[in-house]
Formats: sequence, C-alpha cells, structure tokens
Amino acid sequence: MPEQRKTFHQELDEIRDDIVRLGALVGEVIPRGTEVLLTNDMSGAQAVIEADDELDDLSLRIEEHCYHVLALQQPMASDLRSIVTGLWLTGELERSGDLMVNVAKGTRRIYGVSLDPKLRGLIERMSEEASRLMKLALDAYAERNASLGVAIDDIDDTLDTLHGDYIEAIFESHATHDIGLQASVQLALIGRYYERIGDHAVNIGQRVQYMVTGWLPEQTGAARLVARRSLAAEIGAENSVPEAESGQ
Amino acid sequence: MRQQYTSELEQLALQVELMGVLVDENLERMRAVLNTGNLNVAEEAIRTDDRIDAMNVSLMERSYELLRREAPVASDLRLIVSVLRVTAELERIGDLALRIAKLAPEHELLTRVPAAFDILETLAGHAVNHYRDALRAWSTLDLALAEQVASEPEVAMASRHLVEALLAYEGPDAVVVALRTMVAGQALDRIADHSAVLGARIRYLITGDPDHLAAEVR
Amino acid sequence: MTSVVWSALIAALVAAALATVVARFFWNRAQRNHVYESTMRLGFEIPSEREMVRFDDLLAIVERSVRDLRSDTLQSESAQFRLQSALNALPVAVMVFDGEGSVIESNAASQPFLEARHGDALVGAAVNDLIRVANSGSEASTAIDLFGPPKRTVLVTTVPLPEDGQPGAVAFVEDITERRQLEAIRTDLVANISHELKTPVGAIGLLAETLQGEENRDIVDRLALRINAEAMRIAQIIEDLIELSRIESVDGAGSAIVELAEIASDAVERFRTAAVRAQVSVQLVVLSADTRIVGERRQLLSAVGNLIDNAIKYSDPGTVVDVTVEADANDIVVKVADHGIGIPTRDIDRIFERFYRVDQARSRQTGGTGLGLAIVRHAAVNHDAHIDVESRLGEGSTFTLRFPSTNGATDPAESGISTLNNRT
Repeated sequence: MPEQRKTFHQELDEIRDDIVRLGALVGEVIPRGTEVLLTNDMSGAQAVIEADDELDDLSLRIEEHCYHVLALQQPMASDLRSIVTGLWLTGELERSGDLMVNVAKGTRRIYGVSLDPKLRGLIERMSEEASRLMKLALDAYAERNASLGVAIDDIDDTLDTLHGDYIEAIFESHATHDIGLQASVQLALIGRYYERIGDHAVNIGQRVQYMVTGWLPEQTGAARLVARRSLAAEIGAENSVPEAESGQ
Repeated sequence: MRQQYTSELEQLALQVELMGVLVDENLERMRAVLNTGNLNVAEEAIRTDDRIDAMNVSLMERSYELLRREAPVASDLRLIVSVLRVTAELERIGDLALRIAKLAPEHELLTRVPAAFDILETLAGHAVNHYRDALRAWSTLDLALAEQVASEPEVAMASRHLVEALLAYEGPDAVVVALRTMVAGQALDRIADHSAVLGARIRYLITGDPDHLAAEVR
Repeated sequence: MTSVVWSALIAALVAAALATVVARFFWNRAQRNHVYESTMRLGFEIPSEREMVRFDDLLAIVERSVRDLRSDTLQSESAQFRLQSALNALPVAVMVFDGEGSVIESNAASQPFLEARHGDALVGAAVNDLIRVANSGSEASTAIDLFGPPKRTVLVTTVPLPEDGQPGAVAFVEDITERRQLEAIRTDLVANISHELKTPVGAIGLLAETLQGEENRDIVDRLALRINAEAMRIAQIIEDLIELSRIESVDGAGSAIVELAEIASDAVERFRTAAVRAQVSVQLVVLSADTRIVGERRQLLSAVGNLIDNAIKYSDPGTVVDVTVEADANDIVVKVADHGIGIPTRDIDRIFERFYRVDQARSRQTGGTGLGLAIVRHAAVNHDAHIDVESRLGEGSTFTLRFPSTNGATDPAESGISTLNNRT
C-alpha cells in the first residue's frame, strides 16, 4: 500500500516536471519568435512553426498522463486539484505556443517591410514582458506560490500599457507612410498575440492560486452573489435582484 | 447506489447546459450593449456574470466530489473532466462578453468609425452563432456538429478589415478609438476561439479518441 | 535515615567490586579464544603468541585500532571532500546517474539543472534523454540553443559509466556560448575585413574606369572627388586598424596621471564639426572636481572620442548627445548617452567585436569603419575599466566607462561644472 502511494506521488512529480518543461518550451519560443520577426528571418519562421509540434506532443502526453492518474488512483482533494490544474495549464501553455506560431506567420506576411526603431523597440519590450509574465506564472506553479500567482494580474498592466504605446506607434508610422496598410494591420495583429500571451499567464497564475488554496477568482463573484441574495432576503425586497428569478 | 451516481452524472451535464444558457443570455446582452451602449443592460450583464461564476464554482466542486467519491470508469471520467474543462471555457467566454459590456460608457468611441463598427457587429454575430452551435453540440452530443464547431475557420480576415478601417480614420482621438475597438474586436474573436475549443472538447467527450485530446484550434 | 543511605552505598560498592572479580574470573581460555578470534576477524593486529595476550592488552589493541580506523575514515572523508570540492570548482556540470536514471552524485555547477525551470528545465530534460542512451551503452551529445534571455548555447554530453556490471552513466553540461561566439568572431572577421576593404577598392576601380576618356570637366571633377572620398575611407580603416593593433599590443595604461574631464572635453572638441554637420548637440557635463585616473592619454582620447563619434552618427538631427564625467565612491565614470536609433538587445553582446555591424546598410551611410567600439573595449581593458551599454531600440543608447580612480589624491582640481554646446 505505501508502495502504491509512492508511485502515485512520483506520477504527480512527473506531471509537474513535464508542465515545467512545457512552460520552458513556451518561454523559449517567445524570444525566439520575436527575433525571427525583428530579423525578417524566413527560415527561422518556418522553424518556429515546426517546433510547435514538440509543444503539442508534450501537452498531449501530459493530458493523457493526467487522465491515466485520475483513472488509476483515487487522489485526495489537494492532489486532485494539482492534476486538474495540470490539465488546465497544458491548455493555456499550448495556446500560448500557438500564438507565437501566429507571430511567425505574421513575419512572413510583412516580409521586406523595414520597421522603424521605435516600433522594433516596442515589439522587443512587449516580447520581454510577455516572457517575463510567463516565467513568473511558471515560477508560481513550480513553487506553489499562490500570492505570486495572483500578483501576475497586476503585473500584466505593464504589457497593456506597452500595447497601447505600440498601437500609437503603428499609427505614427502609418501616417508618415513608413509602413503600408497591410503591414500596419499585420503589426497590430502581432501586438495582440503578445497581449494574449500575457492573458494566458494571468490565467495560469489564477489556476495556481486555486491549486494551492482551493480558491478561484470566480468565487469572489459567487460570494458577491450570495452576499446580495442574503442582503435582499434581509430587506425582504425580492425585486432588488430581478435577475435571480428571471431568465432561467 | 450506482443508480444515484448515474443520475448525478446526468444532472451534472444538464447543469453545464444551464450555465451555458446563462452565458448565452450574457452574450445577447453584450450584443445589445454593442448596439446601443445601454448602461442598464451592461449592469445586468455584470450581475449575471456573478451567477455564472457561482455556477462554475459549484459545478467544479461537484465534479471534484464525484472524482473523489466514485472511481469513475473511463467514459464517466471523460464526462467529469470534460465538465471541468468546458465550464472553464464557458466562464472565460462569459468574462469576454463582460469585457465588451463594460465598454458601455465609451460606446460612442466604438461607433466613431462606421466601417469598423459594422465589422464589430458582424464579428459579434459570428461569435454568438459559433457559441450557440457549441452549446447545441454539448446538449445533443452531436459529433458532426462538434467537429464543425471545432474546425470553424478563424475570423482573422474580419479582424484584418477591422484594423484597416481603424487605420483609415484620421481623427484626433484615432488611437483611443482604435484601442477600444480592438479590445472589443479581440474579445469577439476570442469568444469564437473558445467556442471552437468547446467543440474540440465535446468531440473528445464523444469519441474518447486520444487524438482529439489536445486538438485545440490552430 | 542516614544508616539506610550508607548501607545502600556500601551494597553498591560491594556489588561493583564483585563484578570486576567475576569478569576476571571468567577470563578463561574459551572466552579468550572467542575474543581473540573475533578481534582477528575484525582485522586487528594481535601478537601471534595467543597465550601471552592479556585482557588489558587486547583491550588496548582494539582501542588503538579503533582510533586508527577513525583517522583512516577521516582521511578518506577528507579525500572525498577534496574530490567533491574539485568537482564543485569545475565550471562544467557533472552528474552521475544510476541505471534507473536517478542522480547519485552531482557537483555545484549542476544544481541549476536539477529541479530546474525555464531554459534550464529543457537542458535537464535533454540530460535525462541522453542518460537513457548512455545507460544503454553508447555515448551521446547534443548542443542546445537557448533564447534566454540571455541567449546561450549549452553542450550536453553523456558517457556510460558501468560499475560492478551495473549500468550507470555520467552527464556533463557545458556552456559553450563564448566558444561559439569566438568561432563566429574569427570567421566573421576575415569576411568583414575583406568586405570593408574590398568595397571602397572596388568603387575606386569602377570610378577610375569611368574617368578614363571622360572629357566633361564637371564629371571628371565629381568622379575625382568620389575617388578621393573612397580613398579617405580606406585610409580611415587603415588608421583605425593601426590604432587598434597599437592599443591591443600595449599592456596596461602606463603610470601617468590624467584628468578624464579634460580628455572628454578634448574629445568633444574633436567632433565639433561632425556634430554641427549632423545637427546634433553634444553637451559635456563634469559633475566632480577630481576626475583623475592613471592612464594613457592617447588611448583614452581615442576611446571617448569613438563613443562620441558613434553617438553622433546614430542620432537623429535635432537631438542631444550627453557626455557626463563624474566621480563616485570608487570610480570615475564617463557616460555618453544619445537619443538615437538604439541597439537591438540580441546585438549588444557583439558590438565590441571588430567589424561587427548591427545594420550593414546604415554603416555604409554613416561611414564608420566598424572598429571604433573594438578600440573602446581594448582601451577599457588596458585601464581596468568596466564598460556597460544600456540601449533601447528607438530610444537611444548609453555607454558607461568606469575607471578606478587614483587613490590618495593630492591637488584637487578647481573645475566645477562646465558645459559645452556644439549646436550653432
């Protein structure tokens, strides 16, 4: 019996190591894809697109592993949370990898367009910020650090600000005819990919919070609802929460 | 005992559908806010989102309870884990709908560039339809429909036109108009994305084919 | 009361004395043989005359042997410790694995790869993969490019290390970024030198050909001017090469005391015309009275001058280049900051290489030789100075040189703050 328990924890450790590795692949592909973009490197773009297969394979393996563990063992509450968190995280990481594939594809579409230094600088910074968030999210996961996980949402604001500056810079470059309409559009889309990676990092942070504490941000909303309901009950005015009765 | 467990699973699936209906209502509210900028509707959307969150939490807790209490066989396990993953997507779609609803006070900015506004409405229509197909695939477990939802092409074309329209606008508030419109456009895109992921999840639930496991949309 | 205590005490003493007597009494032949053999079996040296051995002697032998054994263990422990320290001092990560692929020994450099995260997790994963290969009996190795930041390349090698017929393997992880870079520098240098020299030489050839038989006076003049410009360019490259090799061949910076503020001021003066032409304003600010260091004036002038020259070249018209000289606790710091195009992060580590170009097209246009920053770096090395670059694309670059200041200053210079504006 203790023997089996040990194997189970080994399996959990393996899942964790694999997720850390998946996160490392994502952490690598962000600067790599950005370099491809900034150097107009067509063969590099192809390599980034192909490298995504490794990421997909690994996330598939992790998911299967999670199912396997769920099916064979009857995990306790906290272990159960770790496994389900693993399932959620692979989704977030896999989609982050896909976003860098989109950046690589965007690189092809703006081939030959020379970007002014300001735009390049902002792209570099958005990329650095996105990979920083991703690394923090992975740190939070590996260290089971719930407060770091939650903090990522606030840190993400920097990326949002940069994204605003970036859109402004695209407008400037477009207005002075440095870059054409098509390239501007591609660049705007590329900026959004970085922003979305940031969103995924925030999601991972929240999942980590849940894994460690069993508390989801959504529960705040749920708690608000309960508070409103009890308040309404106290006042005895059912009408103050019309949506509770209607629409089901 | 076993009987009770089976009906619990059925209940679980049904509750996911109910949560899906709540999300659907909020998507409708989102569309109304996009059209009119009505602040009251936006408020209502915010309140409904709390209910969506509450359902998400309770569904999650029940799924955990089942995983812990029963030792589910393969197909039941798939259902329970699917519930966990599908509710996460639903919750995310709800958040995105809310993100647009919260733009209500700045609605005027969204209408500044008529061509862009038009594309936003098209995107919204597309996203809502895509989502409804996904929800229908869940309640009917229709494999063909799930596959169609999973493989729906990305709406990149429309987003491209959206940016084009924004870049053509030359007002003093061009940047802030572009940023707000793009927030809305991106949220709509992502509702469609998440719907496609829902399709992929439902497909796996039906077939149990490991190839469908990590088959997210590209 | 007291009598009870006394009788108990006496009883105890008697018992103890009896025990000793009993022990001696049983020290008979059979027991002697048993103890003797056990002691032998444990490997103690005992006089062969079995009958001669007394109990106390035997006890002494055992005690001595235990002492010896302990010091042996201590010695072998200290040998082990030395070996581990030596391994820990290695910059290469060394990990020994058993047949199951679990780590049984590792040195300090390998810690980042155990329980690793981010890029190191990928290295750790590669180690695990290659250990499987090594455990099946063959060597394996792979180079991994990590995008970091910072960008680096690591080489993972695994070698089978079977012990007592059991499988096992050792893994090495080595950072080969620098080695790779040096290789790149070597190969690029030859290509770059030929490129830098061939371009103007080719141009001169072409221009001379066009000149031949040209009658139109205006065209002849124009072509001659361009030939002259290309010749100047070659001359500049050669001059820089000579300067670089001079600085490279010098070891150290002599023992003269020089005033950095004065050198910076001369350097700014030297590029006054270039700054005016580029519509860039160069401002020198000296924030400390004493800016003396031990150094060679010519090298320093060359270094600071090159930084100012670069700053002007990569600035947009109408912007300012700030040159600051100041002393902090230990150093004299010279900063040259521009608001120009900036350097991409990936290039920052390489800009000090000879002929390294961030942007080929732009350097043709600005007319740099590609040697300026190499000169700066060598001068810095000769002066034990630290060099730092901070740069953002589109926002500008700041080069910082930190020189160790002279200790025990004697006559404080009177200079306060002086500014020099080159904008007309």
